[in-house]
Amino acid sequence: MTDGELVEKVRGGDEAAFQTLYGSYRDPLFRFAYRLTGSGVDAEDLVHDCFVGLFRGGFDERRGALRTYMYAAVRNLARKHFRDTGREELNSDLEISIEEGPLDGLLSREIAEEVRSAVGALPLLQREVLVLAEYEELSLEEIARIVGADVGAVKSRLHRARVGLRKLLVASMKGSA
Amino acid sequence: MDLRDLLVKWEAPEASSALDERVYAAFKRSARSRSNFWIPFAAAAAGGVVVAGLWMRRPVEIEMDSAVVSSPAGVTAETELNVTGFVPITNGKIVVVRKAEN
Repeated sequence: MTDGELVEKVRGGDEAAFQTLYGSYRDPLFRFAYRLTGSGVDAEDLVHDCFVGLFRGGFDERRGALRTYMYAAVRNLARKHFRDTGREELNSDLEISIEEGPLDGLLSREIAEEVRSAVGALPLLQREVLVLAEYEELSLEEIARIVGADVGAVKSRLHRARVGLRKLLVASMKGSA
Repeated sequence: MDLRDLLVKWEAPEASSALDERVYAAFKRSARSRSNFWIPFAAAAAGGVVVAGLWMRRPVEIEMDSAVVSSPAGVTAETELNVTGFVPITNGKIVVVRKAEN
């Protein structure tokens, strides 16, 4: 079944198709939205709005794969959210699950906080390509389609993001040592 | 430590079940509204059929008193047909008259 057929079934009210589609995209989209906004609440709003847009017929199979459409929709919604709120940096409602011992957990939490702050300090254009490449492991071509840039621009942004992130992390680690 | 090893330390939390409920509700609303999409069009079409039927069955009044007919030569001639007091014959018989043979 093609992406278009699956979406058409969902739009026609097919429960099984809905479960398949939602199950495939719920977690990746939420993770992406969370790492863009830094807020679980905002991320859920973005994912919800993304699916609502899909139900209303926003997807056109001739213009690309469903996966890139969904990520692009969340990305565009996040940008709108940033415009509306007037801020691009991450929210501070850090949520980390601790499944280790107390000391390990503390250390992990500190490192996670450093990473979160460093990623959040990147400009949005760099942050989004970094998250898509490093966390979602998408190809450069897919990222280019999602952010509406050519592959060269994505490579450049990703390189600058990695360099910037290293500097920020080294600085913060030195500062906390 | 490698950059990627550091990045994975920042884990995203799980989405809540409230998200699932919201998205599912949106899905049901969307499916319902889509299935109801044709109802106004079907109702309009049915109404159109009724109106057309009534229009075709309307009583037609025919004026037969007089008529002005213009000839190609531009001369007008008025004909008059007055059916006032006309009573159709009740026991009319059809009689076939053979043409006289000579």
